[in-house]
Amino acid sequence: MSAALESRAEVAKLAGLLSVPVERFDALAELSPATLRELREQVTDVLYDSDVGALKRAAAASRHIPPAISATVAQKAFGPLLCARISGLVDTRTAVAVAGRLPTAFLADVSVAMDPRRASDVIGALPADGVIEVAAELARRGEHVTMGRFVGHLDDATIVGCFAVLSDADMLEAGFVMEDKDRLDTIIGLLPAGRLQGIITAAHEDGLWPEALDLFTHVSPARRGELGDVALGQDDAHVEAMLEAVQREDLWDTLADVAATMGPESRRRLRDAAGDRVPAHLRAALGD
Amino acid sequence: MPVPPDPHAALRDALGGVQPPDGVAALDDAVVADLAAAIADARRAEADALAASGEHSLKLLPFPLRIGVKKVLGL
Repeated sequence: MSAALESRAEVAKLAGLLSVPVERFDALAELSPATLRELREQVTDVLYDSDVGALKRAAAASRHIPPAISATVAQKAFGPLLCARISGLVDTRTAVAVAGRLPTAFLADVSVAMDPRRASDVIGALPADGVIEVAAELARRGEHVTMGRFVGHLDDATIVGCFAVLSDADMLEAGFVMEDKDRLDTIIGLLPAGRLQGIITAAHEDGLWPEALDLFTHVSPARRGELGDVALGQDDAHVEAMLEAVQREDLWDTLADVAATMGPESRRRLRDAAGDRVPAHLRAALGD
Repeated sequence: MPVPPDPHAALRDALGGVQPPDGVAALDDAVVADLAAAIADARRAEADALAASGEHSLKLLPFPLRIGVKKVLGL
């Protein structure tokens, strides 16, 4: 991914963590991705560790309370923010039993405020059906940053189940902000036939070409070539929209990486469509 | 929003005394001040929510459970 795109994804995650509109942090996008990631981890630590003593006592108390009553307390007294903070401190069996008694909308609220790294065991132990319902609710709310933070903690079967409730645009947006993108290639490999085409169409129709090109760069060369061929197999308007995004975001290096793995017909079409816009140092990669 | 005299110190305070990453030093003071304010606001909101939840939680518990839970909570 280009550093600028990666910084933009990091800014979105930081804004989500602090519950502020992402536009408020526009000026932070000039920081490097590594700086933003370190800053976000510092903020996460200070939010989670501030009242950890009281939260640990509350988590300990939950072991003495029947799950049905804990679920009532969670909703009526704690609220989603504190439930999110406690989620990693409660033992897994108790957490799963309580979560099973909470409504999907509440669990979605909790997910937004959670640091999944601190409750990975709980997330992994939740029934897939419940996780998929929460994923659908998060998608309905446009909470792609939250979805991207959770993907790495779900098994393949649950991810496949989520595909059915997410739009192609949802998947592009969640993939863009996903933590640990090394797994993206495997996830793309799990997509049912036809979804790759849908993702490329979504990139065009929803103005998500930067997100799509980012996706291209995090998959294996074979998959990258496959995605590139699908993209270059679209009509002229699609290809032109992609090139305009590449020009606007200065993603020519990324496009050159994609082009290197595409078939000769796609490379020829790309070269013809891009024309003089291709920077001189990348013309060879495009087959000039 | 007025910019505090030392926005970098305000950010360090908001982060619980931790030194922010080096790159942050290059940001404008107003941007650093706004970031510090956003973090401080989030911390305050969480502390308020936690304080409000304790008493309310106990009221929701059946009486026999309340005594045991109060002990665990150290109340």
